[in-house]
Amino acid sequence: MMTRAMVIAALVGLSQAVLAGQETFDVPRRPEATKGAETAAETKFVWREYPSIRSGRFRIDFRARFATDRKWSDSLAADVDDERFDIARRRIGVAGSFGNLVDFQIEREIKNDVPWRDVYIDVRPKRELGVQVGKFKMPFSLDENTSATNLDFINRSMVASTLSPGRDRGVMVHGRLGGRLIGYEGGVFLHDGNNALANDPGEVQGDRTTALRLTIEPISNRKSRDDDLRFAVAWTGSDLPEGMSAINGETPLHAHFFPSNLWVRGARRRIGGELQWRPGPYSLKAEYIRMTQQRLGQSVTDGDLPDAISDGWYVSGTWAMTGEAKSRGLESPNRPLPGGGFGAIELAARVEAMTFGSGAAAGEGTKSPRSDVILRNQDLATTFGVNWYVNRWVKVQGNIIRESIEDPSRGPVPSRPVFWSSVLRFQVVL
Amino acid sequence: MRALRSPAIWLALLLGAGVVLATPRAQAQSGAILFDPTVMHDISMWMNSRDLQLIRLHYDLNTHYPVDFETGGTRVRNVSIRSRGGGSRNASKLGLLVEFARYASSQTLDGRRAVVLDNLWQDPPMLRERVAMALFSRMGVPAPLESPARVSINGTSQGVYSLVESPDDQFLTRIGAGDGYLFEFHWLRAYYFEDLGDDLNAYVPLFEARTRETEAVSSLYTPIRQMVAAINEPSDTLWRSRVEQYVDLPQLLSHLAVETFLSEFDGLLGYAGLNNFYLYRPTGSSRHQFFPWDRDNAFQEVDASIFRRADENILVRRALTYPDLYSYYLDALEQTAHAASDGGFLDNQIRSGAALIEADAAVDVNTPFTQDERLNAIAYLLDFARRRPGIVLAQVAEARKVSSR
Repeated sequence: MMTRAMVIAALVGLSQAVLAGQETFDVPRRPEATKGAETAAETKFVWREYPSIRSGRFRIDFRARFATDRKWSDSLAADVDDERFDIARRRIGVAGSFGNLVDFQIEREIKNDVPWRDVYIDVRPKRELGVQVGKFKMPFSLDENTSATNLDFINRSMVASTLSPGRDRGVMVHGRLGGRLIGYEGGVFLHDGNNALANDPGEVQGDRTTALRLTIEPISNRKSRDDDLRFAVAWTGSDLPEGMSAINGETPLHAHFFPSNLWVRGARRRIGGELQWRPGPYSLKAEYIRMTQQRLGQSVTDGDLPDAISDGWYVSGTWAMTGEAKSRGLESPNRPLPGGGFGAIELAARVEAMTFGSGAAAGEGTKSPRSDVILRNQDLATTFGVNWYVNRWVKVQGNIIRESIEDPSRGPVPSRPVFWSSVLRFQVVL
Repeated sequence: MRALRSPAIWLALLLGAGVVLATPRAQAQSGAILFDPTVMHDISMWMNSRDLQLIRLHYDLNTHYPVDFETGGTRVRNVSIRSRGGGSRNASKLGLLVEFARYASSQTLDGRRAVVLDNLWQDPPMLRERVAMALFSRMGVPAPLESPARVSINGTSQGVYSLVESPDDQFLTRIGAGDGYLFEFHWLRAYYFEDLGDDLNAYVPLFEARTRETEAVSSLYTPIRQMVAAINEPSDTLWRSRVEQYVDLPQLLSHLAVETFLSEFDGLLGYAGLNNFYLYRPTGSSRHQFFPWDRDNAFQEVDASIFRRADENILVRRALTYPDLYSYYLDALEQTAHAASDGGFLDNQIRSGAALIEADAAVDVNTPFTQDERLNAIAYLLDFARRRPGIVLAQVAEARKVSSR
C-alpha cells in the first residue's frame, strides 16, 4: 500500500516537474518531520511547496529545478557569445529524512555528461556527531556549498567555482559543539572534486583527498533568527600524480584567462577562510581561497620547480529592499505574486579577484608549462545584481559584470583588458 | 715615418678604423651569429624526460614542449620546440621548430624569435638544402639563411642538422620586403593552380598565413583568389595583363630558373604539383612573389630538362608562351649556370660544407643513410656541380635555336 502510494506520488510529482531540476536541494525542515500528527503510521501525499510523501517519521520530497539564462558579453567565448536563451539547468531529485536520525538526497541532471550530483545518506544520532556517506560537496567554501537555488548572483564567485573542490565520493563526520557555537566537518574523499576534474587525457586530478572545516557561529544561540554571524576556516590536501593540472582560470561566465597546462606532481593543498553576516534584510559575505600545487621533478632538467599558486577572494553584499530577513531566506516573500504583493526585491553587489602565479621569489615570468616563474594573470570582476523572488517557486535574476584581465592576451577579449557581460536568469523551483 | 705624412696613408687608416668600428654593428645584425655558414654550430637542449618521451611518441602532432636552448655559450630558458616537417617527420631524428618568444614574448636569440632545425632526413649528403639556398641567394631570389649545426638533447647527440631561418616577419625585414602578407604553401593534393572557385575557404588550407594572421580572411585571401582566377583566364589576349596584376612574373621565372638548374624534384614544378614555397604579397600591392623552402630534394638529375613538367603547371605553361617571358626564363637559366660555375661557386659550397660537417656526419647515428650512401651522395653533388652548368647552357642554346626558327 505504502509502495503504491509512493510510486503514484512520484509519478505525479515528476510529471509536474518534467523540465525541472535543482542543484542542491534544501534538506527537509526538521520541525515538520517531527510533528505529532505525523508520527502515526498513516502514509499520505502532500503538495505544499513541493510534492511530498509522509509516513510517520519518514518523509520524502520530490524536488525539481528549471533555469534558463540569456547572456550578452563582449567575451568571444562560444558559450557566451550566444545571445539566445540557454537552458542552464534541468534537474530532478528526491530528498528526505527519517526523524532526526537520517537525511538523504538523490539528484541528477536530466541531460549531462555527469548526471548524478548529490547521492548521499547522512546519519546523525547526535547533534555532536553525524556521518555522511556518498557523493556530495566537500566541506570547503561557503559559496560552493550554497545551493544554486539560493545564490545571491547567477554565477558563483570565480574563486569558489574554480579553486574549491566541489563534489566527490567519500565519507565525512560532522557535528556541532557548544550548542551551535562550533561546527566541525572532516572527511576523506576518493578524489579532489568535480571542479578539479580532468577533461583531457594529459590532465590530472588529485587522488584521495582529506577535507576539514571548522565553523564558529558566535551569535547563533540567540532566540531571533533574523540575524546570524559565521566564521569558518577550511583545508583540503591531496596527492597529485604527474600530469597537467586541470585547474584553469575561468571568468564568471567560464571563459578562460589562464590555461590548464602547468605540469604538476606532489601535493595539492587548499586553505580557505569564510565570513557570513546576515543582519535583518542585509548580508555580507567574504571568502579567501589559496591553492598550492607542487611541481616535483617538473623542470626541463627533471628537477623541482617552485609551487604553482592560485588564490582569490570575494566580498559581496545584499539588501532585501522589501524587508525580508536574509537569514531566513527570501524564497518565501512576505507579499508574493500572486498573493497581494509583487514578491521580494533584493539588490546585490560583489567584488572579486582570482590570480594564478607561482611561488618563485624572483625572475621574469613566462608562459612555459615548466616555467620557474609562472607569468601571472588575474581577473578582477565586479558584479551588480537584482534578484526578484516572485513567489516561492519563481525567481528572476539579472547581473551586470565588469571584468578587468591583467594580461588580456590570454583572456577572452585579447584586444582590451576591460569588458562587460550581462546575464538574465529565469528560475522555477519545486 | 715619412709615409705617415702622406694623406693617402691617413685616409687608408681612417677607412680601416671605420671598418673596425663598423664590424660590431654588422655582427649585431639579427641572425648574423646563428646563421654564420662558416661555423659548425653547437646546439644543446634540455627538456624534461617525460616531454622527450612524449615528443618522440607523438612526433606527428604539433604539440609544443619547453626546453632550455644553448648555443655559443648563451643559454636561453623557456624556449618552445615542436615537431615539424612533412615527409621528413620522424621520431628518431626530430625535425624541430624552435620558438624563443612563444612563452616569453620579448625573448630572442641573436635577435631571432624563431628558427628551424632541419633534420636533413631526406638529404643523404646533408648538404643539398644549404647549397641550394646559397645558390638562390646568389641569384637574388630571397631564400632563408642556413648554417650547419650539431644538436644534442639532454646530453645525447642527435646528429647533424641545418639551422634554418624561420620564414616570418623578421625574414621579410632582412630581405627588405616590408611587412606584407607571407603564406606557407601546404601540399594537400596535386595542385597546379586550377581555379578553386570564389569561396575563399578553399584557399585557406593551401596557403597558411604566417604574417598578419589575425587579419580577416577576406583581406588575406581575396588577392590570392583573384590571382588564381587570373591564372585561369581563358583569353590569351587578356591573360598577361590580368596575371601581371597578381604575379611578379619575372621574379617567378628567376625563382623557377634556379629551381630548374638545381633539378628540384619537389618544388614549383614538383612531381606531384606545387610544393615547398612561400607566397608573399607586399602591403598595398596585389602582386605575389615566390620564395623557396625545403630543398632536400634538389640535385636529382644532372641532365634533367630545363622544361621538365613545365607543361603541368598552368601558370608556368601559359607564361612561357609569351616570347619575352620565355626569353627571360632562358636568360635566367643561363645566368644561374654561370653563377654556379663561376669561380667554382657550387663546387666550393659543396666541398666547404662537407668539410665543415664531416666529423659530425661520420658519427651521426640518427641519419637514415649509411656512411657509404652519404659519401657517394657528396661525390654525386660534386659531379653535378661540374656537369650541370654545361648541360643547362647547352639546353638553353638549343631552346633559343628552336624558338628563332
